Parts: sequence; structure tokens; C-alpha cells
Amino acid sequence: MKRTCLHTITFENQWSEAKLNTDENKSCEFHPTIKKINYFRMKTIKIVALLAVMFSFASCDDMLLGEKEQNNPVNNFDVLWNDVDKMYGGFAVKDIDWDSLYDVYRPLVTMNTSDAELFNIFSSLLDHLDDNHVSLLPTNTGFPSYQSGITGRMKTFTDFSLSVIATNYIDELKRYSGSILYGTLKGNVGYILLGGMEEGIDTYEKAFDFLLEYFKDTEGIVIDIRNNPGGIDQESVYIAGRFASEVKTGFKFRLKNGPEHNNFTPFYEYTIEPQGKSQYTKGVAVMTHRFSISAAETFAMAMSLNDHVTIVGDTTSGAFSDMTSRELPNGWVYTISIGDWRAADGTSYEGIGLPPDVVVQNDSADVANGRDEALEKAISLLKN
Amino acid sequence: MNKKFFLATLLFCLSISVFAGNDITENRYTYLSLGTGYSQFRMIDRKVSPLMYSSSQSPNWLSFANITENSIFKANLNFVYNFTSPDEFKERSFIFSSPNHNGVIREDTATFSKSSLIQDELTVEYLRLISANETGKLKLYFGGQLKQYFSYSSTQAPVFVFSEISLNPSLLMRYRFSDTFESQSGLSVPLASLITQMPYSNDPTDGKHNYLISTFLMGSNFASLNRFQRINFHQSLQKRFNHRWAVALDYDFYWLHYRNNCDINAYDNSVTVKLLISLNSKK
Repeated sequence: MKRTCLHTITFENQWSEAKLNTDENKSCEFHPTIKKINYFRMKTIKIVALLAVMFSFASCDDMLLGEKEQNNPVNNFDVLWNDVDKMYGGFAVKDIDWDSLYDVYRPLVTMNTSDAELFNIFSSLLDHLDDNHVSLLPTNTGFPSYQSGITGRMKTFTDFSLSVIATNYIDELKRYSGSILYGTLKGNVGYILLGGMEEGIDTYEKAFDFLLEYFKDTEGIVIDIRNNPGGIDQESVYIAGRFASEVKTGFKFRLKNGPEHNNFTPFYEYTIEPQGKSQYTKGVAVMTHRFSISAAETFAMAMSLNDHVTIVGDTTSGAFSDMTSRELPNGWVYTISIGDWRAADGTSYEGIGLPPDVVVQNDSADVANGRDEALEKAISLLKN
Repeated sequence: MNKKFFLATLLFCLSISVFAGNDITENRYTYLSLGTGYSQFRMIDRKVSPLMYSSSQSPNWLSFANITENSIFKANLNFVYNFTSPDEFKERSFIFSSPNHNGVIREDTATFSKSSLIQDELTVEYLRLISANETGKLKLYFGGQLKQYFSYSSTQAPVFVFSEISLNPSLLMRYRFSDTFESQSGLSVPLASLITQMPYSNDPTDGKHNYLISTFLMGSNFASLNRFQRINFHQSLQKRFNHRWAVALDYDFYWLHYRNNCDINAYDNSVTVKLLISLNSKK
């Protein structure tokens, strides 16, 4: 759509005026004083005209930046559908027919669709991706954010309580940093809770220098990544390196690099190798459940390659890929997965989750009564 | 970033010391200038967001120029640290919920507000006199410039990265109104550029390098005029008070367009006041 630029019209008028003044100069050219005055007047007008053209030119956004995306329900739907179509990395591994979903949901949107209706349609559409990295933040509407995937459906968990561990299993739960807690479990087993994977490698290096020294005489360590929303893979790989005794491919991934569903970069690899000044190679149990997400899952995947590590608990979330944030013309923000993450052997657990070596699904009634059966199993594995 | 900026400034100052203290003739003029002002930056990076982002900012300039009878050497460093937000959504709030370590759901409200914007531009330019009128008041120069430009904004939603290293032919017109007052108008366009933006996935991860390095490794492409267009316009009015001091009122405008899967368009208008300090000793 062409739009008239008001500033250009204004400038054109000024330019016409400048030309008229220039013509006036000609009639006064035999009077030296007037000529001088008009010379400067002409110069001033030219400078003003020049500045006017610069500012007017620069304020025509449509001309300089291209036409704005229309902020209406239909275009918001189209932008969302198209962006996901071009960017989402999980269509192939999840066997999702995204085109057919357009035919289902697009007719539901009209120019009169309300924000609430649009939010519900978007949520229903994104439900099909079944991906914990897919979320929708309907800004300035007062609606709660939407979360896809199993964690979005579950909302919360009943199979884990840190209070139960602090009260019934540990001598004293100490805090090393914002997301790193530690203590000694009964039976001389170390306990480290990682509440996230994004404190920075420097922090983790210092933390594990301290923790591995602190737990050097224990019979084993439990690393608890239940209710860990993830963070950055480089950091989870570094932590896994503090428990590695040899170099291995931890996992591999490829990123979207084109609009077609099968447009990916070649596979990149994350290598797990011994990190830091010491590594812990005695028995380790990594505790997982459905709210172990993203970089917490790649951590579990990398740790599972070590013979002295056992994964205990429930299956992880199934959202391994990196994600990106994007916006819609109405200002809403959404996130999607933009890659294809695989185990070292090429298996994709996207949308499935990494199964533990030893499955122990805590009963919510047990947890409410102060018992963590999965933790007890982990301790017994390390003691034996 | 401060450390890098300090290092760049130090290198810049060291490089100009080569020219400082030259012997003076009437045709030779060497100066250092410092400036600050006001600029309006507007951008749309359709690969990252359909929204237009804008920022009103105070650019900081550090420039060096060595002018001889037949040539001009210039080096400019422009640095901006400010904030940006989408035009129509200066502040956006949203409600989110997450369980704590005991499974109790906490609901909270968060806000997307202004996000930091970092930009720098380093230009090194050499021009030769190609034409002058009879009085010597009007001079036309032609030459080339090497431009390095970097823009980074990490909003709470998308991340914008744009880097340009380009070779630009440039044209400069000087007009001396009097011995102490002159105008300079310059124009340049890039012919060949190395452009870096976030890779297609918006995820600069290669499993080996940090985000900054992998952004350059994964998101860089050579571009000629058909893929990357930029117009740089410079207008300066300079008034010299005495042998040592002068002031300048500058207007700078650029518009850029990069075509790569999705377009990036941006422009910037800035008005700057500069203080010019002559590095020549009085003859």
C-alpha cells in the first residue's frame, strides 16, 4: 500500500517558495545592497530547504524502513503461523503437519476477533507443537502466559519437594549461590541441587572446585536437577565435564538455516571432556523428573555417558533444543525451538524426554508425607 | 565492553599522534575534535521482529583530521550507549507463573521495558583534491573510506545484532565562506561489505565458541551493492575562533538496507556540536 508522505509535500512547498525568492533576486541584481541581502537570504533559504529535505526525508518511515506490519487479528495470525513455519525446528522429528493446522485455525480468525479469542486460538494452535520451549506472552492484556508441552499441561509437580529433603534427608541445606544448594545426606552421600544452568562458567568452576573438595570423602554424590528449567548448554556441558574421566561426544545438534522444514545446518557437537582442577569419578546419581528442562536435560544426557553415573527418577521434559524469542505486530511475545537436538548416537528425545536408568516415580501422597522414594533409591544405589 | 572501548580509544589516540605536531604551513591543518549531540535511530530487523524499534540518543564523537593542500585524512569514532524500545509498545507487561521447589505455583507480573542499545562506528577516510574553483573557495575531494559499524541490542524479547565492515568511495565538498568559516558536505556509499547479523535461527551456538565469536562465524556474509545499500551523508559548518580553537555544527544521516532472507532497514539522524582543537603549533 502506498502512503502519502506529508513531510515531502511540505518540503515541496518550501522548495517552490525558495525558487520564487530566487526569481525575485534577479529583479534586484542592479542594486548592490539588495543583492547582498538577497544573496544571504537565498543562502539561508537553501540551507533551510536542505535541512528540511533531510529531516522530512528521514521521517518518512514507510519509505526508509518499509511498510509496517498491520496490527490486526488476521495479520497477527499470519505472522505467527508463517514465523513458526519458517523457524520451528521440530516439525520433522515430531511429524507435525503445520500446513493442515493453518486450514483448521485460520478460518477462526476475523478482523473482529477479540484479544481473548485470538489468545485462545493461538494457544490451541501452539498446543500441537507439544513443546515446553513454546510459550506465548500476551502482553498488556492481563491474560496469564501460555505454555505448551507437558509442563504447560501439568502446570506444576507433586513428586518433588525441597522442603522434604531439607527436613528429612539432609543435615543442613546450605546455599552456595542463587541456584546451587548443597549438603550431606544420611549415609555420607553428598547432595547438590542445581536450580538452573545459567550462572556462568566462572561461577560453576569456582562452585565445583569448592563442592568437589567438600565432598571428596563422600561415598557418592546426588545431583538433583528436578525443577531445573535449564539455561545454557555450554554451562551444562562444563558441569558434566567435572564428572568426566574421558573425552566423549555429549550430544549433537543442528539449527534451522532456511524456511523449509528440513533446512538445517550440519550437525555441531558438544564434546564432554574432563574440566577444572579435579573431577569426581566416584558414584553419582542424577535425579530427574518432568520439570528437568532444556539445558538440564542436555546435562543429564551428557552425564549418562559416564559409567559411574546413574540417572534416577522420572523422564525429563523433552525440550532439548535452544529457543528464540519473537514478537507479533500486536506486541505479544512468543518463544519457539529452533533446532534439532540429538543424543550422541543420533536418537532424538525431543517431545519424549530422556528416560532415567532407574525409574522411580514419586507418589504425591508420599511426598506430602515427607518421603522422597526416588532420592532413597539414589542413595541406596550409591551406597551399594 | 568498557575495556574494549578504552582500548579502541587508546589505539585511536596513538595513531593520531603520528600526525600530531607536524610542521605547519598555511595549507596544512591538523585537528582533533570531540563532540556530542542528539540523534534519532530507527530500525526494523524483520528477521527478528516485525516491530520498529527506535532510540533517541546522545552520540559521542572523537575525530581526527589532517588536511593538506591536496588531501584530507580523517578518522572518526562514534560511540552510543542508550536504550531502545518498539515505537508502539514502550512498556509491556505480562503475567507468568512457575512452580517453586515445593511445587507451589507462583504467579508474577514482569515488564518488557527499554532495552540497552550499543552502537559504534569507526571510519578511516582518505580523500584527494580533484577540483577547485578559481578563488579556491570551493574544493571537491574524492577518495575512499573504511567503515566499521556495530549495533547490538539485547531486549528482553529479541536480540538484534548488526555489524558492517565496508569499503566506501566517498565524495567531499568544502566551501570556504571566509577565512574562519567553512562548510563541508560529504557523501559515501559502500561497494563491498562484510555484514554480520544473527544466523537464521537467531541462535549463535556452535558448541565451541562463545556467543559473540559464533555470531561472527555463523552470521557473516560478504555483500556487494545489490544486497547491502547504505547512504552516508555528512554536513558540517565549522567556525574557527583562533589558531587553536574552532567549533563545528554537524548533521549526519545514514540509511541502510540489508537483504538476506528478511530485510533489515535502519536510519539515523544526528546533530552534533564539536569542539575542534588544532594540533599544529603556531607559526
